[in-house]
Amino acid sequence: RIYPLMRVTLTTSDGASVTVSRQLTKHSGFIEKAITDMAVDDNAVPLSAVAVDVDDATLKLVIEWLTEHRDDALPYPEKTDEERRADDIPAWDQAFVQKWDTKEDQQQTLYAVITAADKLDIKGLLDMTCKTLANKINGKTVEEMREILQLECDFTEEELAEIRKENAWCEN
Amino acid sequence: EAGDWLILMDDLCKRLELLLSKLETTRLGFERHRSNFVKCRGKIPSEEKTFPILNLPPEIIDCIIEKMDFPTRIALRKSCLRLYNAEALAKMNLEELTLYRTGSDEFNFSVKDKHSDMRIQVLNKDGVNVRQWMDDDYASFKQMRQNCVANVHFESRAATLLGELRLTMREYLTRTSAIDKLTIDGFHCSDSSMVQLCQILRGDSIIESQSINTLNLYAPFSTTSDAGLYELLHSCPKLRCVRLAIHRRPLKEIVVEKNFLLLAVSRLDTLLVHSRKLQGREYLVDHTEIDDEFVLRLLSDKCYHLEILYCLPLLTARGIIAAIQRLILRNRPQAVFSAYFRSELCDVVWRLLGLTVGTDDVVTSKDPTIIIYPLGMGNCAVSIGPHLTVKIMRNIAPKMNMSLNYSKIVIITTQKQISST
Repeated sequence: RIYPLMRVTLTTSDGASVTVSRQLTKHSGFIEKAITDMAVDDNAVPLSAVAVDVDDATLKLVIEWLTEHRDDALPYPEKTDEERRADDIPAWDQAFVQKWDTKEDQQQTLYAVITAADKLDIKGLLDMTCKTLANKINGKTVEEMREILQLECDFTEEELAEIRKENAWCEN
Repeated sequence: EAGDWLILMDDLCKRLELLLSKLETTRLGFERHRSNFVKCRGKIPSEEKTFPILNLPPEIIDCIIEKMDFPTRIALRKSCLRLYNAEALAKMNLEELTLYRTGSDEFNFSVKDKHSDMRIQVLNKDGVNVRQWMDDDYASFKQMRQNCVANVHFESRAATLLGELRLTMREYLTRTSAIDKLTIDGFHCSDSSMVQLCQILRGDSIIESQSINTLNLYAPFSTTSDAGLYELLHSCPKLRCVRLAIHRRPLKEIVVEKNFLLLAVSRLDTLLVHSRKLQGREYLVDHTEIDDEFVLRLLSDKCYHLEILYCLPLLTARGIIAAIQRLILRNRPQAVFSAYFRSELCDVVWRLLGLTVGTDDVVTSKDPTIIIYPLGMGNCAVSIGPHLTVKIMRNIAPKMNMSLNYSKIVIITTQKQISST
């Protein structure tokens, strides 16, 4: 059982410390496992510090998302193939991403949050951020994709011909 | 004293100044190095254009791509080879990694997907040359391709030299959750390449590679000893099964030491040492002397599947019977022991076992197992295990009359099963 008043201190990769409620950290598989591994008394206030490989700025965003989603049901439901759609992001999440997605280093922030969600094992946040990135790409041409994702074409002509041949069955 | 303190502080200041001066020199050197690098390569490493999505783990890349609509996914595959590979790698659940030695310093690689029969072989010579094949028929192959299990390319496009082995294997091992089986075809056992391989397997950053439970070494060769085999045993803590297939040629063959065999049977569940040439005309006796006493030592409690089929052990009929009895007494349902013995011992062994050699077909019974098959050139093989299989080759076997005191004997002919008592 998770008690709302229980708190856990997280130390970030850049040395900052943040103390948050266990009600938030329960959504993170990584932090929950770390707490379990420490085998500390659940009533300890605050709990021993858990080191996370996420920088302070990104962790603040993660905590903001967790605060909004603190009452979400757990475990996070597994999606079937049919349910893997990118156009069902809740309004609050869209506004949340929009807030920092307009910055100059917009994609860096998005990648940082995706990586943090992966490292901290927060399935809901990972799902939402992946959808956000997928939405940026959906419907774009190959050239536009390369520009958005900052990719360079590293295919040889032969490889490109091979790829075209492979995909011929589903094109046109 | 105050004067002493001043001297000490002065000394400290001088040392700090010296240190700062050295740091400045280092910084200037580094800047110079960077500017040289820019001249050579046209870009600064730290400011190199980054491709953030490619820095994500393949599983996350796959997670993003699977949320795209179908036409976008197809288009995306044409955007970048590395992205294409990352997605393909993420979809693979690597079970088996095979390295084929193709030259003195070259290897090809083959991987097998855990959830399908998909095999991917990477022929990494003369540019990218990837060949795929399926164990199943073409229809399944086509279906698999449509399910996006696709080509895997190596970033390195030159022939895979030993020096690149580490990087290449590391790339594979870090991109997959775990490898159960590792097969190496043609590998020096005691030279630096084996040490390199062991370092890779032990590397902290690829701990999961220590999931390897099956190691197949085909045609290893060594000019000195099998020290590399000891290394491998220590490098793979979860190793349970080792298959060693020894080439009889060239002459610089591996010498399987007694101590290695003893260590292996104390650590492994399964140890198979075979020779590829033994069923041919040459019957070279390995330097390892395996006699009655040694065979009994090898039948340890840990190893329940032991095959010593690379040399002609110096076994007597009494030794063979003792080995059979040892195996039966262990009462392990999976126990199997295979070794060769000289055909002149055949009649003696039959009599000691209470067998009268008779039928001209394959005879199989259960619990415990004896497998006997002549190999030509006057030699036979005996294999003892749980499924009491007595196998007599058609062209040599005289009539056989089973009179074993074992329960449940099943006799199978080449046509059909004819009796069970």
